[in-house]
Amino acid sequence: MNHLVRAGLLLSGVLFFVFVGVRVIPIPSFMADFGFHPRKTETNTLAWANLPLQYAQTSTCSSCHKDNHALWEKGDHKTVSCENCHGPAVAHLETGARPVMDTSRKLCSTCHAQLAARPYDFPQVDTATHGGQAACITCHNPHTPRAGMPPRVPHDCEDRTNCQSCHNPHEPLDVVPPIIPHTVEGRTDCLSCHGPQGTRGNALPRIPHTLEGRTNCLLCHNSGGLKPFPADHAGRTNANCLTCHRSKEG
Amino acid sequence: MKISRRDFIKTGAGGVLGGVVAYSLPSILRILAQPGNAELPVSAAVIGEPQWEKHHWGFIADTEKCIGCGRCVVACKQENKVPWDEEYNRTWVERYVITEDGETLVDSPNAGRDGFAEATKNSEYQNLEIRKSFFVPKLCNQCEQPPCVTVCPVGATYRTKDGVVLVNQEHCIGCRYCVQACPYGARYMLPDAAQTHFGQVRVVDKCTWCYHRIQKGLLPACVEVCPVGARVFGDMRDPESPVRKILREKRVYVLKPDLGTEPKVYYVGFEKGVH
Repeated sequence: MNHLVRAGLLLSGVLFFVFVGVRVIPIPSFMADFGFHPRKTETNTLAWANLPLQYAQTSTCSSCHKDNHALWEKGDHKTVSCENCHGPAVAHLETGARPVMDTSRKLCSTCHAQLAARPYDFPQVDTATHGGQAACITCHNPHTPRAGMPPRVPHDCEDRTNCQSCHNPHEPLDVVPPIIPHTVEGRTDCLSCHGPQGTRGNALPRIPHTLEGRTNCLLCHNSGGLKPFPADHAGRTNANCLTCHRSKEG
Repeated sequence: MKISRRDFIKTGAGGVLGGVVAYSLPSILRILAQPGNAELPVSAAVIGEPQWEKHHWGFIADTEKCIGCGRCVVACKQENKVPWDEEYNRTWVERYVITEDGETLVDSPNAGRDGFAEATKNSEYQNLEIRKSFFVPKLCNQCEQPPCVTVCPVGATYRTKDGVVLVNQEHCIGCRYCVQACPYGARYMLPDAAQTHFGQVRVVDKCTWCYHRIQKGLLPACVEVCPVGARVFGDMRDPESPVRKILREKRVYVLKPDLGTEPKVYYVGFEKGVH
């Protein structure tokens, strides 16, 4: 029987080699990439990382277009990147091809058409009536869209109808907030120009300290004081600081 | 000719062994010639050295700032060769409308690509008692526990070391299992007519957070063009990054947290019913 046991052992050794060993040697190691848990993904990650760009970034544009950049960075559109409106810029960099841009009302209204779902303080207009049907760029320079426009109302207009009860053209300036800089004769609807759209609720700087025990603002904030008020505040007294500026605690 | 059993087994085993060695010779030689074959060298083709371990990216989507202009959708499609048709999107914008009855309605005309201003659906909302409405930007959440990676039968989709889920489109077999598995609907199939980066169609494509841009220090295209700062991108490992700043200052939530996918798109402005 001994020779049969030997033969059996030899045979099982050979079979093990045929079915297991043979499989390991000729299968190339990269086959594991197709498996359940791929070990090597670097090649593909690099391929994704090296795809060509279409959009550049605003600083790329401003390195050449300095004049428009200077306008833009001071205007209300300073948060809107160049390529948002002008389209991807890399082709322009590489071939000099001018980016094609939509200058119609349609492009502006993608952001500025009135929609209930938009945040309340985002500037929106009724595109059916605002400015007739003229192209927006007839009045607005897209790089600085509020240039030459009437100033915004710096507070919420809700429930306020009589602007002149505060902004009376005949009252002296030190009693009330800004005097109206033009005649109000024949004008009744202030909001038709100074629309409630685009009001900046809390745009005025808050007082960064508490007011406890302090009554004389001008002690520090008079011209020549520790921290003087801005030049356009000339003529205002302690009585009306809090009309516009709120203190830290509320 | 008479042959003993022993000789038969010996000869047979020798023959099999010889055959195996002869057959394996090319691959044995190949392995011997390239001892470093197991790990491919990371080539320096990217601008600068890839620093995959040094970053862990994160994304903020602010529903209180989004104005639904859809410029992000346009930029994404142009940057990433996403087909222009409405059903193929790496990112899109949804409008949530919550009525006085508490019903939540969601629409996304052309995925938000053309904005919502002229959407025909606007008229459908005219006669509703609306309590509130707002926009929600959507994109791949680049989950820490991505179900799409788990289900892929061929290992074609994977997480990179900096936390972005990518698809190896040359390995993808187009079975759509991951499209089904993604709870956020962030994946789509590239149609036959598509112009694609790797020349593959009928494979899955998804948001990569503009992997080619972020590796070069640029922002994802959607973040670059967002006019109101509703999309913010940054490195979670950097305490000074804009994402970490918002995570410090604001209360945020993630979509479908109960699924345990651990998304990395954090939403500012929680509202019940947003999913």
